[in-house]
Amino acid sequence: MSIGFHPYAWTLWLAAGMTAALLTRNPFYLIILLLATGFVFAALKRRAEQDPAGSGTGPMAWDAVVRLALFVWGFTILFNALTVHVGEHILFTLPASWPIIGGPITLEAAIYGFITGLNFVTLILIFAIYGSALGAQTILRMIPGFAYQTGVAISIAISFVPQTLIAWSDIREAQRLRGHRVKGLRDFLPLFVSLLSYGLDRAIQLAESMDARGFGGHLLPVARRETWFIRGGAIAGLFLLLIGLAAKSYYRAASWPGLIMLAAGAALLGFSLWHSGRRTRRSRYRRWRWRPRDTALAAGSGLLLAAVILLTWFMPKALFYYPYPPYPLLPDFNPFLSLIFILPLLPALLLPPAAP
Amino acid sequence: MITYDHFTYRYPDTPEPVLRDLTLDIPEGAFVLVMGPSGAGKSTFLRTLNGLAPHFYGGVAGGKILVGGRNPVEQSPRGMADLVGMVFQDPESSFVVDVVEDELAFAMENFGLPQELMRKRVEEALDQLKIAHLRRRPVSLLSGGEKQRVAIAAALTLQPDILVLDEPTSQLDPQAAEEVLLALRQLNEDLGLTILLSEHRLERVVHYVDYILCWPGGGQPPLFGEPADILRQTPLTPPLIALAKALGWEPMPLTIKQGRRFARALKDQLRPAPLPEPPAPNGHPPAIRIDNLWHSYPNGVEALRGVSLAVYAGEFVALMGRNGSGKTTLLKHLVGLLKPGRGKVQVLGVDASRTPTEEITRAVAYLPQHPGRLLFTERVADELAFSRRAHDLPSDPEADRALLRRLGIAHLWDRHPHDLSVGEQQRLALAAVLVTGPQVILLDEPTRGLDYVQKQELAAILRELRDQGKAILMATHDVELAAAATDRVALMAEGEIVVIGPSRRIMSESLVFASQVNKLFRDPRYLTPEDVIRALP
Repeated sequence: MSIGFHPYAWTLWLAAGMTAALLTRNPFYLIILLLATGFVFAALKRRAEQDPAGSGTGPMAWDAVVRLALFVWGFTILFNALTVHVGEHILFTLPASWPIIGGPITLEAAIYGFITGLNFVTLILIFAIYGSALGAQTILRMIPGFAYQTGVAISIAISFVPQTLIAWSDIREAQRLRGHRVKGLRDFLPLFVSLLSYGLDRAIQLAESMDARGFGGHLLPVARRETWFIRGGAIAGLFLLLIGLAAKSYYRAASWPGLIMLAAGAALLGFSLWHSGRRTRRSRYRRWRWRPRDTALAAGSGLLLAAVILLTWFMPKALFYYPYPPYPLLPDFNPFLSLIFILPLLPALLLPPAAP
Repeated sequence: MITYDHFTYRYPDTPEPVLRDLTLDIPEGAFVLVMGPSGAGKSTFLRTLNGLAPHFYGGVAGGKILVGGRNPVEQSPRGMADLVGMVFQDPESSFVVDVVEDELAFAMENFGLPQELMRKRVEEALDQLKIAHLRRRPVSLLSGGEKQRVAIAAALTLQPDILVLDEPTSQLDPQAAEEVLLALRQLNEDLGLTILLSEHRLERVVHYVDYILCWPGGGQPPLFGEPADILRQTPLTPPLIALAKALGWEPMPLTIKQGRRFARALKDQLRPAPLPEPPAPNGHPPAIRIDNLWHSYPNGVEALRGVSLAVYAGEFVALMGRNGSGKTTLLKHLVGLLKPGRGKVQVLGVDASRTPTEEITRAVAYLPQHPGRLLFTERVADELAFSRRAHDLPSDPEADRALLRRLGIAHLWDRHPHDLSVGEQQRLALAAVLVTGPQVILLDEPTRGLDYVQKQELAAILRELRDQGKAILMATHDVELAAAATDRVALMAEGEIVVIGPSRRIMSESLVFASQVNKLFRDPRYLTPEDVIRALP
């Protein structure tokens, strides 16, 4: 399931939003970015409430996400304000004898915490949106062939959590029926034993079902030589990576030999993995359609991504802000530049209505 | 199609083989019922068909098998996946992905089929099992019957020649089970699929199948043959067959319709005892008293809507009705696991909504749906000791042993509870809640996974407890158990008690909840084979 847009378009949106949230420190642009993602969040939430079964991702704890974001924000501000005692605008002073938090509490430190919190909150919202729009299973299905088995293992682990929670409440209920009261840590032991044996039973049943349905792929007949080539390639690639890393850290006269070895190692390893992925014959059932609105979303996200990266590279001052002296307390604001931070709003504008 | 030639299989770490010198020949297109007491080797046999035993479980296999021209011991389960489709008891735990359509495609993706072919086969499988309307739904939101049909569709997409199902209906209510079995029958008739199915409730399937493969248990070799021949030789028979055997009806009737011919001829000769008068209220207050009980779940579902019910000491009452009609919700209120939205719940004079569950359960035994979850020590004996400790009772191994003896499981004293069979676990869980000597006993679906003999034993135990003056309330789908053991039946629908009254009257007035023998005679004086045999001149 992928709500509204092609998974690749969503992924580009995620990449652009994430990069913008990570590279920007200017609070004005960050607030615009947060508002844009907030609108998308609200649009998806409304849609999920209209059509609970249509999302394909099951119920999602929208309010819990908002609560988490607000908590993180408050915590960052408080933490930074109480522990960093630098700046000219002193709000009040705590007794110096208090460890760590003692000293002047400054506006600059609070602002710095506020901005870091903004970064975190925006990231949380972006990931929540991405997760609810695609669902874990779709995200995993985009994983390339060689990592397929790892992907399935992770997807099972994800579906395990809610089921284990249900089993937990069942077991807890069963124990209350037996008169078992949990007072101390020791009383939890029987709970864990039951939960563990339940988890094992379930894992065995699932593995059995996967085996019976041909999971693990059907290896194509490949020449033995080719197998050796793949293994040899993977090992050599790993070696090159390690040597390159060592060379780069210890041989400081020139960095290019290390870099070349790192690049060669990564290329060799990637090629071997890709090649081994091709040996198992499996296909995909899902066909995602690319629509004009996907092009629009991809173009908008691409623009934001490129702009943020280019600005950071060539005009580092544009997105930069640092509240502590000697920098001015008031950040710059460029209205033209602020426009690109509205781009993550696109999914909320282009989102098609839920099917009846 | 399927040939076993002196085949033997032994699990790792066990000295005795489960399958010993098995020789068998199953023709193509047959619908085979696999039956036998639990623990006799049915599941193991089904798992040898695609090589899960020995490949998945380890152990040693000897002799020859040939399934559709392939040897599953040499091929792994993966190599058999396109020939043998497998459906397991609990569909929930065999699902790999989240959405119905993707679940159907999973096996085909593993075989690398082209996308067009996959789409076509998914459509076909959706239609064959009549689940096209569920295609985009997450599997976790489906009902039990829908889940099992999705599991069957998922096994069909590789177009296997053989479909193997291990107790596919044991978790379903009678209506959902009927849907699944009808779908299977159609697959067998229309596509010529060879089907092997294990099942405890024979009355549901016996008239669909061509052959029965019956494990007598105790290491005896299995019997294979036409249904009538096999049923004559086994004690595990539904009430209709039991009656036919007792009265020597020939040819043996497999359906109610066939049996009705014999019943009509017999009816005039029977001299039944008159219907017993309903016992007059003895003036004691009821052990369970529910007044106008309402309950809504947090998601807004109204599970109980104004239920009133009284159960007296020495009375055995059955709660029947569809899945989701509120039976379990009602039972949970009686031990304080759920709190009423409105109304009053009193058990033995105590307000259940104001008393902690841990305290109520000293005088009220509650056996939940999955008895296995109730067990959590490492020894059968410790389970009873645990209950005593939790309720601050003195340890008394002698009394514990006597209780286990009465339930017929004293010989398991030193075993690990998780190594027991379903029936044994059930009785151990019952012992674990009976150890405190409760006056009220609540049971939720106690007959899941039990065979006929075990069910009769359970009915006998419950009747004995009732005669000792306990009040028993049991939620069940099992019409035959309710017919054989209960005094009154309450039918629930949509959170209300639709009708309540003496079992004989309610069950002979109902179509869905009539027992087999009652369907034969349509007379409240005959609910069980014993009723008929007692009335013989």
